[in-house]
Parts: sequence; structure tokens; C-alpha cells
Amino acid sequence: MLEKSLQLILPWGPVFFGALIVAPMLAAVLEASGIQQVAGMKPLVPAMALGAAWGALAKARGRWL
Amino acid sequence: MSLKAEREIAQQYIQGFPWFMVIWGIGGFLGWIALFPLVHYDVIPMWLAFILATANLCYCYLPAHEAQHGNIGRPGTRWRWLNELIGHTSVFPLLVPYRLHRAIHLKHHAHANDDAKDPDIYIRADTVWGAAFNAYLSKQPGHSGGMTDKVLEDSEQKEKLVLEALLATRLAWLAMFILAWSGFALELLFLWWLPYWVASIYTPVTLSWAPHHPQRETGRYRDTRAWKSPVGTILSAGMEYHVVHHLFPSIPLNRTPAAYRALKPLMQAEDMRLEGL
Repeated sequence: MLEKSLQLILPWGPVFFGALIVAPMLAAVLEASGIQQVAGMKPLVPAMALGAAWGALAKARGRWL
Repeated sequence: MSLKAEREIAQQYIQGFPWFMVIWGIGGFLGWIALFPLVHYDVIPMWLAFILATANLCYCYLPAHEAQHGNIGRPGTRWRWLNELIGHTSVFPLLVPYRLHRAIHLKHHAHANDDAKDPDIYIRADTVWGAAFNAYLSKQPGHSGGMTDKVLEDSEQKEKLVLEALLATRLAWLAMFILAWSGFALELLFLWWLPYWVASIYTPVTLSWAPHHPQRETGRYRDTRAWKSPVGTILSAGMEYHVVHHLFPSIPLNRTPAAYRALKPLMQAEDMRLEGL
């Protein structure tokens, strides 16, 4: 049971990492650069979308860059 | 050269408690943690903390390496807990699970440069840039690099160690998550995430690639080399003398230069690879 759950979740690690850890870092950089809004939204919202997408891409390609 | 003669010399450098590595291990880890509040409350500037964190993480593997070999406290002795504490904590910033890595690292010692059995063979490259690329690749999704558990097929502990490793690395992710969502996101980026990438390339290139390059020969007297590093002993993390470590892993890193000089005549007699040192 535990093994099956891990096998299901672990491959999605880059997506979680992108959305939940990379995104706040990206948003903090934008805010520190004086960008308080992106397309009318707080930087964290588009950063989370970008982070999740980047993570999904990393998962598919096997590389972050 | 007889193994007995080697051991008699090596024993002089094994004795005593390795204070230097203990202070390095504990001080390095606590010093790195201290950078977060120091930057957050504007005690030191971010650029300075970034340099300190990067240097810290580039060298943080070394105390854990001593612990992997039980050099701080052997099993069943009074300092074993300290050995394990330093082992776990000093490589935590690199997201390296200590106990799984120890089991894998001991396979490297047993089978250095063996295409099928050496877990560090992934770093093999003709140039330092090729090695750096291999190190980078080893940290990408779906790649295990030197953390391959395939070399542990004969270990009864394998499953337990892999599960523990998963927990240890996810604990690091949890710490990153908490930092990222509690107002420390910039500190996370500049004091952990970016230094992590620099250190994750520097460490295997310096510790695995350079002293074993070109990773073609096997055997006690041929699998490791001594060499004169163009960046000096400190910037090469003392790996110019790594040949001593492979002969006697119980000699602490800071004593390998002196041990090298004492063992050199015996090494020369064995035609070991002493390249300009």
C-alpha cells in the first residue's frame, strides 16, 4: 500500500516542487524587483502557474533546464 | 610495499579524536542556518550571505564523509551519536540522505572505477566540463547519479534505507516549503537553492571526478591519484591527497597531507599515480 502510494506520488515531485517551492521564490524576486502586479494579479498567482508548468515540463523532459 | 608497513605509518594519523572535522561539521551547519535570520533582519547583506552559503555548502559534504567512515565515532563507542548527528545534519542542505549514501559510498570504496559496481562511475568524463555536466544531469528528475541504489542489490537493508532516504529528502522539501511560505522565500533562493546547485556540481566534480580521473584503472594502488591541483589544496577540498583516503579511510581529511608525505616512498615503490604532488 505504502509502496504503491509512493510510486504514484513520487513522479509528480517536480510539479509539486515547481508550484509550491519554486513559485514563492520567483514571486519574491518579482516583488523585490518592484513588480507588485502581473496582469492585474499578485505575482504569486502567475508564479504558481509558471512553477507548476515548469515542473510538469521537467517531469516530462527529465530536466529542469 | 607491505600492508603492514603501510599500516604502521597510517596508524600515527588515525589516533586521537578528530576535533577539526567535528567543529567543521557542527559549526558549518549552524553557521548556515544562522545566515537566514541574519539576512532577514538586515544584519548582513544578501550578497555576502550568498557567498558564505555557497562556500559553506560546497564544503559541507566533507564532515559527513568522515562520519560515513565512522571517523568521529565507531559503532558501539561513546561518540557514535555525534558521528551520526554530524553525518545527518551536515549533508542535509545538499538533500543527501546520509545513511543510504553511506551504504552506497562504501560500495565506491570496494569497487572504485568498476564500470558495473562503482556508483560514482556516472561522473566519468574526459574534461572537467563534461564531469560538471554529468553532475548537473545527476540531479535532474528521474536521474540518480551517484545515489543509485542498484549497487545495493546484495544488501538486506536496501529497502529500509531507500524509504528512510525518501523521508529525509522530503523533510528537506518540507523545510523549503515552510521557508518559502513564511516570508523567507528570497533567503531560500539565495542561501539554499542557488548554493545547492553550485555545491551539487562542485562536490562530485572535486571529490569523485578529479581524484579518480580518468576512472579506467582498478585496484588498491591504481584506482585513485594524487595530483597538483591548479586551484590549490583548499579550493580542491583537500582532494589532492585523496589517494591516502582510499588506502586508509580512517585517516581524517585534515591529516591526509601529512600522511601522504609519510607514505609517499611506499606509494612510489608501488607505482601509484602520484601526478606532480
